[in-house]
Amino acid sequence: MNITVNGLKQTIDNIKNLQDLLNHIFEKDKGIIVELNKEIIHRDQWKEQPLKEGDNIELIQFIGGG
Amino acid sequence: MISIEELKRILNHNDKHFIEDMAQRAREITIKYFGRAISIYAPLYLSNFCDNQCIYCGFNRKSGIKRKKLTLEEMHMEMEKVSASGIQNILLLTGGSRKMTPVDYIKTAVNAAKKYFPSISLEVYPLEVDEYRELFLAGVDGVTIYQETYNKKRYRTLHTAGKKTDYTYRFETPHRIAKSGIRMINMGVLLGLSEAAEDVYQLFLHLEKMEKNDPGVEYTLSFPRLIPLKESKVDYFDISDTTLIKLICTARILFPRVGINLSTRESALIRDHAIMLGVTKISAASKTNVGGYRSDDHNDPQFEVRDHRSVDEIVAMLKQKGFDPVFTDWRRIPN
Amino acid sequence: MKGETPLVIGGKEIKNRFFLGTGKFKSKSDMKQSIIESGVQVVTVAMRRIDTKRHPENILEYIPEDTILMVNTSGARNAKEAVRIAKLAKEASGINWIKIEVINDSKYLLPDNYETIKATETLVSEGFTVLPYMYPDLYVAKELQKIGAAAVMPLGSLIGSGQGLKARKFIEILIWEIDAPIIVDAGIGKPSQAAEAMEMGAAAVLANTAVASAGNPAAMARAFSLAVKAGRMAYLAQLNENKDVASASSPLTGFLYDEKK
Repeated sequence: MNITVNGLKQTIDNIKNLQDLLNHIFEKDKGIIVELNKEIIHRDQWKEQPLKEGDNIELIQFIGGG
Repeated sequence: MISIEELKRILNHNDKHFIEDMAQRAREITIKYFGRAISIYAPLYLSNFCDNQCIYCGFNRKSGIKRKKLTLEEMHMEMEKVSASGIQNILLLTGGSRKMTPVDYIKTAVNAAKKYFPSISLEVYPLEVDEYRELFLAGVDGVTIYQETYNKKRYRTLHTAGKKTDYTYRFETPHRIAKSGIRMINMGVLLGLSEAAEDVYQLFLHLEKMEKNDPGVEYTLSFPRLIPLKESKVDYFDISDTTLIKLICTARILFPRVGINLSTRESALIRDHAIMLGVTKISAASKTNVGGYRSDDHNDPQFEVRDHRSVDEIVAMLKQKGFDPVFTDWRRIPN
Repeated sequence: MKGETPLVIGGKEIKNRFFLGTGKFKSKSDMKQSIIESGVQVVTVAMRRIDTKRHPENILEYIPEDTILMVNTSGARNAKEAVRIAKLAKEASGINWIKIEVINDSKYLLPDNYETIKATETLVSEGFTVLPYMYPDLYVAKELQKIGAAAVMPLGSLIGSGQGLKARKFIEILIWEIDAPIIVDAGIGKPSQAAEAMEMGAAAVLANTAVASAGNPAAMARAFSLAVKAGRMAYLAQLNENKDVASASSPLTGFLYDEKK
């Protein structure tokens, strides 16, 4: 299916839920904040959260800033 | 310009250091814009006839005082006496009676005054533009007009009869004066008639509006404190010395180029300190009754004078404090 | 300290008036050491999209637990974006303190005062503790105060310039006229400049670049902390004239309190 991750369109296969997607992208998922279609999905929901065609995902983290 | 809340805060804030800081700031500004000059003038009451009923005033039409208006000869005698003391800036006053002291009468007085004083101001009932213009051409430099109070409800209660009941006409007087060409306007409120912060705030707004719309004029502010008549049926507001000082400082800080006037209503103690923190114009050796300078006929004054010093004593005090007494700012050159 | 009034923001008493930004450090451990050695209580962090080609990093791990975190909305070009970042931060971590930084000018990095007012209004109404970063304009500061900003943060000079208090006079006006704490932010390049801001009466100072880019960031952070403390002491020392001798120190108005003659 086609989804957008951090502004980039991607085609993914065999991704059942959000946790899967994150495992696919990252080795470790510590410190990640996930916004799915402009709503924050909490860490403990990632396994339960399915993805569908056209979903827009933002992956955000805290960084150093002034 | 501050807000009404800020003005109220200032009047309620009684920390000694805060007040001293305000005073120091006011002094700094005064020296910067006025140097050490203090203008001196004297009032001359031409007439105490009045058609108005201002219940706080000794001249009100029901007050039963002995009414008098100066004849031309008496005017000369009074003016000569005042002029001899060194005064060169005279303030001519009448009560509020167009009938007894019409514009022609005032003009006669102005013409007489021209012989003795380079600078002539008026404190009379509100006139029309063309009437002010006539007097301007006759030689008047300045007009004093106090709204008394900007609280319309209180104004109605305090002014119960006569033309003075018209709040708006009086409010618009400074603008008519400016339109006539007269260069100096003295505005003020009678402290004590209403709540001080509200009245002074409105006065500041009125002055701001005048400065904006009629900018060619030299403005002065006055804060006379009411001395209630013995049989007062109305409750007045008590205005402490501290409040007066704060108002003077606030006015000085907010309006650096506007003169501040303090008459002999106030004691020598207050006046001597007030000139250190913002007051730039004072009267000297005032008599506030008609014919008071010369006459043995002692009729009732408009208010009791509290500073009885002579012109010489005032000058001595000013010089001792490092001030520059100014009797006349400018002269009219007949073209 | 005599005469000291506590700095209270968002219901919390702030003991260290030096706030530290966590950007631009060479390493996370530099940053951590700086926080520890200076004893700063309040630090700012920002939020960014993760670069999916790299490991995500969670800077929060490197910040001591009892530190107060303030999320900077940097990256926001308007109020709407700032509000979104703030809400993200709160949802993700419970952080409630927001430094509103709305910059739509890439040349000077000057804050947009108008968008800042809008963002402040929205976030205050949603219960955030809002500290807006702004260009020192008295009218804007009054409005920010009026709508409930917990503090007002005027810039000292352009971000990263290290030019110190170029806006000195205008910051002074804010300190005199605004009741809310005035926290000088941006452009502070040296501890002496931070001390100067505190001597003027600022409630606190925020610096970032000066510490992060120093040779020894932790030592620099400590220097800043001490400078801010010294500046505050100096400011209080000016205030505490001898309050007992009334007439000597009140030459113009002492007469109001004398015995009536």
